[in-house]
Amino acid sequence: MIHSIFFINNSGDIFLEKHYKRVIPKSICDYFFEEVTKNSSPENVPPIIQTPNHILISIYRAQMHFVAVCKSEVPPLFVIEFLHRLADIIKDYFDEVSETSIKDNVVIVYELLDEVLDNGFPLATESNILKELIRPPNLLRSLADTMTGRNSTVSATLPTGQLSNIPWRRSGVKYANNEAYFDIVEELDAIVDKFGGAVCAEVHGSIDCLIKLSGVPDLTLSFVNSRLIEDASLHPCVRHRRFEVERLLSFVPPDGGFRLMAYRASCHGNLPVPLDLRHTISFKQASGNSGHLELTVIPRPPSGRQLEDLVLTVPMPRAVSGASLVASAGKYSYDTASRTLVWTVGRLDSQKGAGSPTLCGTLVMQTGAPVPDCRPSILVSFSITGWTISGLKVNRLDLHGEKYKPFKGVKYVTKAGKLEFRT
Amino acid sequence: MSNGGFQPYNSPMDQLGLPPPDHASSTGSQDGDRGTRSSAADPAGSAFFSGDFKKHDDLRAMLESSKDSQKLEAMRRIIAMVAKGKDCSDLFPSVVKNVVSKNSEVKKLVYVYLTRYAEEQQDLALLSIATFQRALKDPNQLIRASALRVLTSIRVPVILPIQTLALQDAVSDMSAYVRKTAALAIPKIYSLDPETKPQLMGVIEKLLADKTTLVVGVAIQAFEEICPNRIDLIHKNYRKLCELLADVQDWGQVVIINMLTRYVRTQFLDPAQQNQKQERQNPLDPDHELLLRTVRPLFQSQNAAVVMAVAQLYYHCAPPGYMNIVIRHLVRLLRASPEVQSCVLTSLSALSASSPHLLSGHLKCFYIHSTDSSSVKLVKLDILTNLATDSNFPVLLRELQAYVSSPDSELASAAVRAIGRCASQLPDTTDTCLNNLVSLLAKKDESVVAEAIVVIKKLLQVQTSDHSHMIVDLARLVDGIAIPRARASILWLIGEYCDRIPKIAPDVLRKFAKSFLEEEDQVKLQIVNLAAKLCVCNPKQARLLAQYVLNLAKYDQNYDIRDRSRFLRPLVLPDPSVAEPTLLAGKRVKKILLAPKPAPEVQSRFAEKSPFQLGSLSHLLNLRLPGYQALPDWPAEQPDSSVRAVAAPAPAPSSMAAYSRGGPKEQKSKQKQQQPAEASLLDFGPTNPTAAPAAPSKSTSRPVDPFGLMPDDLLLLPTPNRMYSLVNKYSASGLQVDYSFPRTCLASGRIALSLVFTNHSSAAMRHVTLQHAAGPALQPPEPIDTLEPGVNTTRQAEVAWGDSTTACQLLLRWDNGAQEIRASVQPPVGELLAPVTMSAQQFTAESGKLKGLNEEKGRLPEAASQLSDSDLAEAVRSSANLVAVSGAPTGQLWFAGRSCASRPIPVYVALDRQANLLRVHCEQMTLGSVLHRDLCSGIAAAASKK
Repeated sequence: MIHSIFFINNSGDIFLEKHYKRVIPKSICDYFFEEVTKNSSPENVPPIIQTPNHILISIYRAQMHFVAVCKSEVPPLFVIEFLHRLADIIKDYFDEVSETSIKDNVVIVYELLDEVLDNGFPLATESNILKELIRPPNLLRSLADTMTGRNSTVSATLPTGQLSNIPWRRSGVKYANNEAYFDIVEELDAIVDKFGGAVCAEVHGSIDCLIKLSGVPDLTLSFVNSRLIEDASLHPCVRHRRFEVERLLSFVPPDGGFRLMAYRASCHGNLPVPLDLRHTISFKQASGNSGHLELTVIPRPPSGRQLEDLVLTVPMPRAVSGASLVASAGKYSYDTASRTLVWTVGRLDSQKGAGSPTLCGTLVMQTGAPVPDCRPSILVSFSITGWTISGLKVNRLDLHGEKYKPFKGVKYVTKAGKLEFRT
Repeated sequence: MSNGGFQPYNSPMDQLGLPPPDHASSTGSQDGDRGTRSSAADPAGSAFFSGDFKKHDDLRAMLESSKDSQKLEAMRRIIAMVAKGKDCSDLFPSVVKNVVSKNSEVKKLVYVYLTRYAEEQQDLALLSIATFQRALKDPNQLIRASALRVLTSIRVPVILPIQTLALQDAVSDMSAYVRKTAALAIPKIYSLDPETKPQLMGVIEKLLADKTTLVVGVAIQAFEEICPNRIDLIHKNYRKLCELLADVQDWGQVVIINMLTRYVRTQFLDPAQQNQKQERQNPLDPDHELLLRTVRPLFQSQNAAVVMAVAQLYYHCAPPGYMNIVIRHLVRLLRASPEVQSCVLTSLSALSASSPHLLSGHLKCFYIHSTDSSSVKLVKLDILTNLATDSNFPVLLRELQAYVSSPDSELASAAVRAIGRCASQLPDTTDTCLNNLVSLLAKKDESVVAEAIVVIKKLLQVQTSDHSHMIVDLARLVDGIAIPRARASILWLIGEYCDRIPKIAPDVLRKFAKSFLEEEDQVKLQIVNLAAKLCVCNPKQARLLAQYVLNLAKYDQNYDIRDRSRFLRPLVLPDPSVAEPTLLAGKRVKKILLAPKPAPEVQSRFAEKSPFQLGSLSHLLNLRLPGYQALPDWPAEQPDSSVRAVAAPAPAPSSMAAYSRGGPKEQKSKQKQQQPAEASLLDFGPTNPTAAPAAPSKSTSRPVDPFGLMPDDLLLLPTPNRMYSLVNKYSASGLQVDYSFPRTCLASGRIALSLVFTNHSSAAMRHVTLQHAAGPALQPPEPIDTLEPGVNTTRQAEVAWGDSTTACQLLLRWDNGAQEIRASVQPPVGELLAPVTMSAQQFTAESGKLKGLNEEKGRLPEAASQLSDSDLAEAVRSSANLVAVSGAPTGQLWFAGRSCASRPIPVYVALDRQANLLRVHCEQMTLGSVLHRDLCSGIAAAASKK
């Protein structure tokens, strides 16, 4: 299916390649670079590029392109999902996906690449299994290895999980402190039109877990208001029948961090967007070569909560060459290369009566350029902890199959997903 | 030296404990002082330098050192270079030596290196093969599997036989992981030599029957790559696949579902069509429904590829009512990564073109965010336009207007085009759209204005009502517009409708005649057109201008323009000297130039139903790619649905015919037939309990041979009824139990056991039961209520031996549990087999595949020479449940069979009288050798009886 994989960084350097069938020369990537130069930003590179004899399927993640070369019919999502899984595995191993983390651990990455695919077909992609086959770098472990004289990051025995009926879980897990953490993160996707009405709004949530439990724990997570969950996608460990019938999550978890469930929250009626924005942006003023900008944030957080990490981003047209503004809270910056105005407001304390932070001032227009006739959108990001916008709440978490009492933690966060105000 | 730290690459000699200044000259002497510890540095530092020969020499020295840590370090550096794409093939000889290393990481890295370079260094690669062959027999399954992986990844044609042999061994390996590796190896061998296809097909067939979730996914992948059209291989496994699907790894799920989509399209009737014919009846085949039911939970997979696979299965194979679920889950995928989003949108766009009503409820999901990538924006716009209806048009138009003022000019122009498409799709809205487009003309963004003009032009062409005021507006705008396409469009409009704006048109022509030389080619062409049209309609005002323009065009640099002028001139400005022919044309010239023109069609990219499977790469690119398996049309007639039945009620007719000749035993066989509730389910057909086929005899010349008359037929001999003792009367206070093997092969590896209970005591025995204590599962015999003294009763039992000869521990109780005794049954290997009838050709072909280690060869016992062919055949048959192959050459006796396990292993026995040889071919070496021994002793015993 997948013939070769190339890792390419933003400056067009192929820094890692792995071939699963016959070697395909690097020059195949020239077609890819052609597309990169055609498109203004790397995000715009089409994921599927057709060349005379091959098809390049790529993803862009963490300033890198992961390019897979295919020769024949293959489900495109299969390859895309695989490349994302690969990036996830790398992230799981080295805590971050980045060019440096890959270059620093090039041998382990190469070993991983050898293990995840055989002849172009996925072999082992569960990071619990992989970690038993190829051990991730770990300071403590490398110290221990030095003392004991062991010298191999490759295991000599097959991980037992491979053959068990819970292949996602590592065997023989032991912790001194048994802990289970659940992060329920909801993201608000919305477009607000220039009059302040929501054109469309949706809430998507996910439950990410960090489970450090010994043995083979069997967990049951139930919700107070499970009817809010719609269109869920479940980790393979979740028992599907029980979810369908009882609307609860019953599962034997993998060890470590994973995404248990993603869902769309059903929100009939109006969604409360927790802030309002007043804006005037004009690129033409009577006096000379400058435009005017005024932004006011009116926070509307739920009672007792605060808006945090509030950032407003305004991509400006090319003709805006600079900005001289005054921010009543936080600070702003204008990136002249990408022509983006970023206003980092930070935390908004509603109790203190700080009111509504504003950003106002003039925009410097390029001399000679025609006055742009477009309306930029304002992208907003924020987070509110301890609250879910849909109101979803965990009822209880039960542990079966093991005797100990684990420490359980649930965290609720609401964030802005793709939240956009049109002007 | 310890492995704790690694040296920076540029001074590897430090690691060897040598003083740095010497390091160029002392590459060979790595036995120096190893006391010093190297300083810690990153094991695979990013600083790897290009292949300098001296440096490679260092690596060579390290590889040849006796320390694992140095070898490992060297291998890590080499692999880092390979990863970078640098050529390291010159190190091959040094690396390949380390294939025997005990250190698992060194070994792993050497394996990785080998697969990369073996093709370039074929001769040297052969040095490693022996190591792999040894590793294939290792007790550790991971080592076996990785040896197989690497062995089959080495693309060297010479070792193809070794690879095939290893593959055939691995297919019946105990470990599912090894079998999985074997399945993955099939396409590798196939790509090395497509001639191996027939052999690989056998392997695939075997793997398809595998019941482990680990194996089925990859087995189907191998099937898809080697023989995707052999749908018949799937029949028997269809239900199993449906049941296992939920537990298979996500990648396997995608492959299986895609394959089953094609399967469903060939084996079941179109549910959509049936609905029309017979209402209210459940039209779905139970197997069809089974698949849809078992696949449905996978809609909730976290893997987008699985969701898409399920969606396309439902789209292509489910009754129409299910489409809402499909759409809902596809829309859910839009939240995933941008790449997934882009692929899913393409599929949705195809759906929105063919059946917009399905998506109408999800209109808002396709609203464009300013952060979407440009291709996503365009596809979303396409979908939005496809979904436009009269009722949602106002909302949609407002949305499209927002896009028009987006800073992304590509999106803005696309939005203008979308408005135009809405107008042509929904005739009622055309006026609103036109007004909107005209208002856009006041915009400052030129590309938007230009696009608007082009769209207006198209719309006016469709529109029948009078729009002269709009054309006048456009004519006024033309000076301010620089984009050639827009200017050309305006000129075309003025020319086409010049009779409606008689005052303005000549003036426009005048202006453009003036600027003719500065215009772009496409504008020039339109000026020429306009001049010609005006000249025909309004010769009084335009004739001179037209002449001027045509003259300019005549000498233009572009040949298209020159051609156009040459073509138009005699039509509109006929040369008075050449009278007749042009005059004729002159009368019709108005009809020629101002003929009503067909309106251009504005369509979505997927307006025509794509013939490709939804979600496939071919569908996405709208191009048939190699390896694409076309989705078959639904069959017109219901194909035989019993082919999927794994539990056949009666034996296959062909084998029945053969058995029915066993006249004398027929009656008895009927009785027995009722006994095994589930008869054999396997292709080979079961043997009849009492009338098993026997050896044919080639020695027709012998008058003593009672079967000589029918040399090539399957002759029937009574089943050798060898009795074994389970419990004897002395140890069990009078109860004696004997057992024999009636040679009925039952489903899923169970062997039938016929038990004879005899009461030798003087008192009646009550409630005699036989229960399972340990070992393979037992289907216990019916209890005997009362066993009178001196009476014997026969009971049947089944034991799931599969192909192991593990003893089955039993617990015999009677007199209501007062008496109890333990016993055990262990079957001779020969009883674990079932006969398989086949032709001599098949036998030669099949047994030829099982050579080498799979062949147990030995001398026939001396005594065999005293026996006739038929005696010999009987001797073989009494020791093993095999059937003779008809048509074997003279002097040879061939027998074929298979194990009764759920995954049958074929067994072939050949006796060669001339060479005095007995050969047993069987994949499982232990089974083969034990059978060989049993056969030898059986033959010797038969001879001694004579």
